[in-house]
Amino acid sequence: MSNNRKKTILKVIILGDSGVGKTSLMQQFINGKFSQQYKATIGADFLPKDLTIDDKQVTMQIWDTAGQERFQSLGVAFYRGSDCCVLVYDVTNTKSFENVQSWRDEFLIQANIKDPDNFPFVVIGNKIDVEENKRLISSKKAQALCANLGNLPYFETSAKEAVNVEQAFDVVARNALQQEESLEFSDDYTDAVNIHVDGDNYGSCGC
Amino acid sequence: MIHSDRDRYGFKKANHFVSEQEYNNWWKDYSPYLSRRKKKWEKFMAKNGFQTSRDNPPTRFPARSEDMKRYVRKGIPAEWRGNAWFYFTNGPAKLKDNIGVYDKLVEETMTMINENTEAIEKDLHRTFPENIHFNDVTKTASDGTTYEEESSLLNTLRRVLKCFSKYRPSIGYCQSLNFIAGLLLIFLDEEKAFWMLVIITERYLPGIHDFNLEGVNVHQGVLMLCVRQYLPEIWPYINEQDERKGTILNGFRHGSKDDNSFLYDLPPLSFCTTSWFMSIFVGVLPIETTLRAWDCLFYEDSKSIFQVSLTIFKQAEPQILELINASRGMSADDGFLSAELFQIIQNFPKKVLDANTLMEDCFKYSDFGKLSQEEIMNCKKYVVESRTRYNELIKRRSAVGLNENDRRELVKGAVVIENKKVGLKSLNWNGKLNNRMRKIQHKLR
Repeated sequence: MSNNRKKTILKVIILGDSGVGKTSLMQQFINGKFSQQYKATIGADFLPKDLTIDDKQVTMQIWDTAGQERFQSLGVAFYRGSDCCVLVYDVTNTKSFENVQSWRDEFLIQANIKDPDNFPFVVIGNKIDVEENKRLISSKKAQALCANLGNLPYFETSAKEAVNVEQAFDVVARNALQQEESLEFSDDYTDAVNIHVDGDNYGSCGC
Repeated sequence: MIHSDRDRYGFKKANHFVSEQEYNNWWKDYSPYLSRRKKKWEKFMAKNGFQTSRDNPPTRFPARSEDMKRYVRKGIPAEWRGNAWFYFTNGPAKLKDNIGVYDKLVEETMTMINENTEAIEKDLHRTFPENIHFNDVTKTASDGTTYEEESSLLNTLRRVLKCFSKYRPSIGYCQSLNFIAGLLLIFLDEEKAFWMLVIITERYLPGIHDFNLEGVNVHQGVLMLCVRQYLPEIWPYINEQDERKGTILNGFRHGSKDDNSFLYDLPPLSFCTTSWFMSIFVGVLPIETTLRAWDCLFYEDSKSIFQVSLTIFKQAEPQILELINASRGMSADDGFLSAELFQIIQNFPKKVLDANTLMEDCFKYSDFGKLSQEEIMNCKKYVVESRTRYNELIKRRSAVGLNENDRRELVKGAVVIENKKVGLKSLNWNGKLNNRMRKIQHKLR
């Protein structure tokens, strides 16, 4: 059932400690704006963006989450089906950097990722607009962590001054698309939930 | 006020969802309504033997009655709101039982630094950035240079939240408490706002801010049960379990009516409705509408949150049905519809300026208003039992290494046990809700 109307949807989840700038990054990417007026996110927020990646039309669904640790107990159903996960920390906050790995681990467990070694993560160190002496996490340190976690792509951004945000999300989109396409081929075989029911014509894959 | 870009509480009128013009257009009608209601309240109070004057807002209110309930549902005068909320929730008794406690807490927490206070600091400026009283004030020094000084309300908010985190260690500081405490501080003095926060988390939102947030999951489960009963047309699209089985694609509903697995495996939409409970609509509905919901909550109890939530769903229903129709037959990826639906439910309430229509739709034109506290409590008990049983099952089977299919089997297993032992149909709330639903549908036709 190949079908022109079929929409490619890329589900992207943004995770990271409270106050690292998840909402600001999402808003900067989608609306090209920064505001001091963002409120603390409770539960989750969602924004879509239509993109063209190498002539392919896709809709990126970006899910912004609450950063406080206890909100992780709500995350179960919500992480599932993600095509990419963005891990954000604040370069002026050591703890938020140290937590990057636990955010990744938590995501892998909750999202029930079948092939954790190949799932696309992108790490973002945000707030590089601050004065040099306020910065606590060096690029070198961050790159070492990303290498250690399986050569994860790493970007340093300023959501405030729109530095590198576009570039980071371009990689997010490309990697998400690759993930989505790789899943499509294996879908019917690995996910029994999508088995055709009652002999209807609609499967999950439609290929 | 019509010429100001701020409302009567210092909030910016315009935001991403409502323009200043839209606000002013609505306010033009709402403002005279408020004056009329105020006069009626004054008469009502006088009739019941309560003197009121401009300089002397009432601190006590008439005994509970049908009349009183009607007055509250039509809105408490803003000038009296703080006192009324405090009175309705038995704040004065709480205060009397705890004389000096707050002052002591303030002293003890003055220099306290811990995980809670760090989280509080992060959220202070992210509570009401759109409100003039919750922002830094730019001051000019004697040498002509300018500097930023913290507003006094931000300082107060910090103290209240710090004291609360010490007073209720089982909660500590949970994001969203900042919104509740912030709004309370616009209407009540510091000590009373603190005790109201204690009362709200004890009585109206029990467990919702606890460390594991299980209370949130339970309340979301209850809300989903209500949506299934009251809004059966949109329910299959909200319940992702059905979607995965192909409901959206072929319009055929799978799964038995007794399949309550959504209670353990909450639909993604519940991440949107989470804030409706955690911050009691602050940041969800426009401020004047939120206040009307709070009036009902403190007079009538926690069922009000469910009633208002259902009304929001009901008002958004045409948009949702339109979306469903538009996407029928479309071979979209998994999650397309649920994301679009999420967006509707996320954005819709932010535009509900018309508090009167929301309240009327809730209490006059639907039977949501008749949903009783007892029914909600029964639902809650049922959800708690079901979730506990499921969690025990998970523990016994050890969730480590559980793949998606095993997990789903487990969920189904929990449901079967539930049915055999309790018998869903014997649950009285279920029958009651069904009757109500029939009545509503009848009315709508």
